[in-house]
Amino acid sequence: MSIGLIVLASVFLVAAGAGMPMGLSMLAAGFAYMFATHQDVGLVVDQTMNGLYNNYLLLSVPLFIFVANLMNASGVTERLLAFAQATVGRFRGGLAQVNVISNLIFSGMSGSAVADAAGPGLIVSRMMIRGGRYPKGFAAATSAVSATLGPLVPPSIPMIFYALIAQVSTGALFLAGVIPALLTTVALMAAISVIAKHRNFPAEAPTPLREIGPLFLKALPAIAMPGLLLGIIYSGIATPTEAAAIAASYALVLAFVVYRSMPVRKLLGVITDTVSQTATIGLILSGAFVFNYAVASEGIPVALRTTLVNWHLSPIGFLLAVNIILTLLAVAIDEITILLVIVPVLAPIAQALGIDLVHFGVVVMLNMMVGLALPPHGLLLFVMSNLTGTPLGEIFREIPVFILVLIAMLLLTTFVPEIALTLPKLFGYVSRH
Amino acid sequence: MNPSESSENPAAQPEVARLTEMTRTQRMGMMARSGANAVCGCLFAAVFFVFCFKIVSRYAGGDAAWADELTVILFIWILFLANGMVVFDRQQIVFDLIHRNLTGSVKTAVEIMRVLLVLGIFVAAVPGAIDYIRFLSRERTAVLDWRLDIMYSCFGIFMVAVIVRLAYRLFVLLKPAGAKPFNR
Repeated sequence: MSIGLIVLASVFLVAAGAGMPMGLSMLAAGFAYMFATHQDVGLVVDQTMNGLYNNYLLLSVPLFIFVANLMNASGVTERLLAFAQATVGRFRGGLAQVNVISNLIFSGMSGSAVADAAGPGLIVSRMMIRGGRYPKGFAAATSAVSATLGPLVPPSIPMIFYALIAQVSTGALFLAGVIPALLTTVALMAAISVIAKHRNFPAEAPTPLREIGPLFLKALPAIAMPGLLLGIIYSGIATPTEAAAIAASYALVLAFVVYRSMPVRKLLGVITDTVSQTATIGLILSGAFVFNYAVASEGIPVALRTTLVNWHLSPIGFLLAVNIILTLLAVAIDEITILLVIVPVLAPIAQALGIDLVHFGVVVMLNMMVGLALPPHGLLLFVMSNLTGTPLGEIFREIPVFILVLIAMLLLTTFVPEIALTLPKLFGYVSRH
Repeated sequence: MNPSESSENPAAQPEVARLTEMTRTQRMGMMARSGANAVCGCLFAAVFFVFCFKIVSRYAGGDAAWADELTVILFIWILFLANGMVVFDRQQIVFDLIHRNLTGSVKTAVEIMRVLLVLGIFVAAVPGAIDYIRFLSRERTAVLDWRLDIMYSCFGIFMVAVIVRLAYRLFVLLKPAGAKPFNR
């Protein structure tokens, strides 16, 4: 290991470990690396600014965050919940099932797991906890695990980052996430059914059939968002980045014209939140450009690739190794950091081993989902703990069964690439090996 | 909120008390933050409208390559202005597995160490970074033909803002416990 790499890793680990924001720690480590290797510190500016300047696709990120915040603020969530409750609320553990379904639909608009947790996840959690109908830990754990569907359902911000890293089609990736997302939803609902029966959780009063139609119509404009997005991208009407702007316009029309549920003043708060959230992700992204430069300069991808090739790993062996590595990393490191720093090293190796990069992307997303809900550092666990005031320990006790479901889905998708690739291929995607 | 509202609203009293408790430096910091927040909000609105214009103009047969470049530049400025002057550290993504379990003087000592480390590195890096940005004065953006040093100067602004914030944080941390000013 070179002195430069030791300095890079040490500064990053010390600063980030001591609680400095991740992005700042990465930039500081990048500067320290340049000092240690006697390179011009201007290279940090160069890598960061050119990285941002040349990746036009990144512009979709603030717009998708805007859509999520707008949807949360405009009361669309309540309409989705009413529809979800009418369809699956009648089953045992009905509110927990509502939680999963509403998160699935909401993630089709938001692209951000945290927005899903803070939107429908929080509302359903409160409904579940009210009157002591469900244990607080179970309610928060259900919301956290349901929100993990976000990275798989288009539009997905992590998928956009992955598309940039691996240079694959965003549209194909978006499509590839659909079947795994639906399967994961079914698996989570099945797990909830078993738990609900075992622990005797209540069912909601059934909604008469004639009321379901109007509720569906009220929720339809919101439910239609992912289909609309995919349609726009695949019909060539707009690029994925432009589709984000169209999605934002659509969300504005929903909020101010169709549902008329949001005062204009509230829009300022939505924009402020969007700017802050975009900035926090963007700072890590900036640091990642510098890290990627350092990692490439040190020849780490080549060394890692040589090592793995020497191990004579099969594609499946490699994917399983990736699953273990990413899960172990997720215990300590944030998912966005893993995606932006670790995955760029792994993607070329996957390609060299003949693994389809869209399939690999879905496997990475499923790993992110596990990481988002994995104790002790799963981001969504903290989000739900903060939002619902539930002690982390209570959520930790309830989450393992859901983590097992996610891991089962991860393994299934790892071994059966067609789960991810069938839809993109139907729409003309040609697998690149 | 106007002053009369705040004096009549009991819920607003703690906020008023906190604001009056602020030192001049803190008030200036908060004003700078509000200003930067407003600028970032306007820049975001501009990104959105330019995007929409670009999509429409493409179908109207117009060439809006300038729009691509403008939106990217606006995006970069939002990113660094917001990170330098708007977003609080507590809003950032932080690895707090170790730090959150610390208490008392150990926590303060660790915080001083991390601030010193990053502050020192940023201070040492500023001249090189500014020098690089100034060097770009001879280059121009691909479509709009704007000077690249001006476009990239937001990174310099960000670095200076980070240094000011960290230096202030260090000042607060090193003050005797009883004399700590209000700190957000």
